[in-house]
Amino acid sequence: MTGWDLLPAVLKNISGTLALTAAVIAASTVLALVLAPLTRSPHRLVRLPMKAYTYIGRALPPLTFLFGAFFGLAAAGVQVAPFMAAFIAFVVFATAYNIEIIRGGLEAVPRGQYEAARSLGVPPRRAMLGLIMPQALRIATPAYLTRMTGIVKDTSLASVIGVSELTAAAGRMVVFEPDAALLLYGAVGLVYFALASVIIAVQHLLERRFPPSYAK
Amino acid sequence: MRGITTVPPQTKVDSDLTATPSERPMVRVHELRKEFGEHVVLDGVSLDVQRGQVVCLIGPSGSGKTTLIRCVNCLERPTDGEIWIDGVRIDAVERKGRWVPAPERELLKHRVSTGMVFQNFNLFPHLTAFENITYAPRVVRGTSSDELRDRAFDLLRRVHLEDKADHFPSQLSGGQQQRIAIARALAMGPSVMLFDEATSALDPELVGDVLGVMSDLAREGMTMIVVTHEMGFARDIADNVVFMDQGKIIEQGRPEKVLGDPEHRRTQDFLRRVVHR
Repeated sequence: MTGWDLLPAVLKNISGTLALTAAVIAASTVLALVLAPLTRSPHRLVRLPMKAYTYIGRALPPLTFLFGAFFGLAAAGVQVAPFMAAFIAFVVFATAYNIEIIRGGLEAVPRGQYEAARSLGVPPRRAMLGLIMPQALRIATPAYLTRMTGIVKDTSLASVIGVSELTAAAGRMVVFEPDAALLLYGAVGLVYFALASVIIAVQHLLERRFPPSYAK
Repeated sequence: MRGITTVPPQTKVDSDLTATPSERPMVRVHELRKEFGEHVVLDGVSLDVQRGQVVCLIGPSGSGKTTLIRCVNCLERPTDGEIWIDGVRIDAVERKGRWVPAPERELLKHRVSTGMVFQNFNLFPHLTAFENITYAPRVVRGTSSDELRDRAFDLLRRVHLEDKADHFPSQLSGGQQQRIAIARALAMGPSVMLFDEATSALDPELVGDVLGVMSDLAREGMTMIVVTHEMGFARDIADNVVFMDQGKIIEQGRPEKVLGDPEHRRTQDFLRRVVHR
């Protein structure tokens, strides 16, 4: 069997990569949108745990989270499938970054915007949702979408705990057919390139549609 | 001291809360103190503004004018003293016969009774002029969209910008943005309008339009507290001019008196500097 014969079997695992990436992006985005404003809470008991979380989440390598979720949960007697363990690990990991990126956007919204909302009697949560967050997200878009391209590639690490995604599938085949390594890993690399390109395209689209300078 | 009294103390304008609404002051600031750390920004300021009166606050930068109106808008919490609007104390609530600092949600309600216009406009850049004006009435009051529409266009006409409803702030000049900001503040139906150096960030040729809208408001009977460096506006429109320096009111009275023949040395020095700019 040549590498070309093995290629389809590898590529069909794109569904694993796609599912994991999409689930992690969706869940970590929702979580970060809810949690990011808490990093600016006037209450220290809210602010400090957020600070600790984003610190640890960014300082530890993603593999630590993967092994932690996979072996840690198992040791605690919770049996989870590899995909689920990877999902949990990457959400915990990615959310820490996402919170920091959105916080950066929130910090960049001028103080006067918060004051204008307050002076009009708009309740803080409504102001955050309708007035502050839309501005913060425009500012955060380039950094945020760049981080998303990172998540696509990070999911390849899930291969180490046996999640059926592209990198794991290529690895399994290469064990049987070492000569196909260049072709198979090359093809997998191209798939990641294509997926990241989609996200980059979305980024440029958003930046054009919602310019942070509001120039029309 | 913040304490036991339930009726604001008498000041030289003889009226209190038992007076009929038309007689009691629209805004009463009593012995207001504001400290930022060691720094005393307001050092016992008392000021009455009657219904329909226009009061201009003048004075050097750092004199506490802006902090004073920010306290009236509840954007800053006073360190001590009292603020009453139309007979209601807004900086504190009464609990078991004692005044305690008002919780944030109370302040939120009171902010609606004062409309604030900022030096840098602070329009919401992602919303059109129309949306800027209607946002707060929609989410705070739940006003119906038909009524919102009518009121917004009525306000846009008052600031002479009815053709700019669908423009974003970035598409408007500074003077136009400030007039939209005035319309936005008016949309909540405030009883007092506060202007914080509303024309200071404008190109000179755009100042007139904004002052024109402010003069119209004054003529219509709006109660206004105006922090300004526009001495012409103060002379022509104000009922009272208040000169502040170092957190205190130094002198107040009719504009022709305070601006034309000021009693205090500090007022004279300030006016000389401003006029000979």
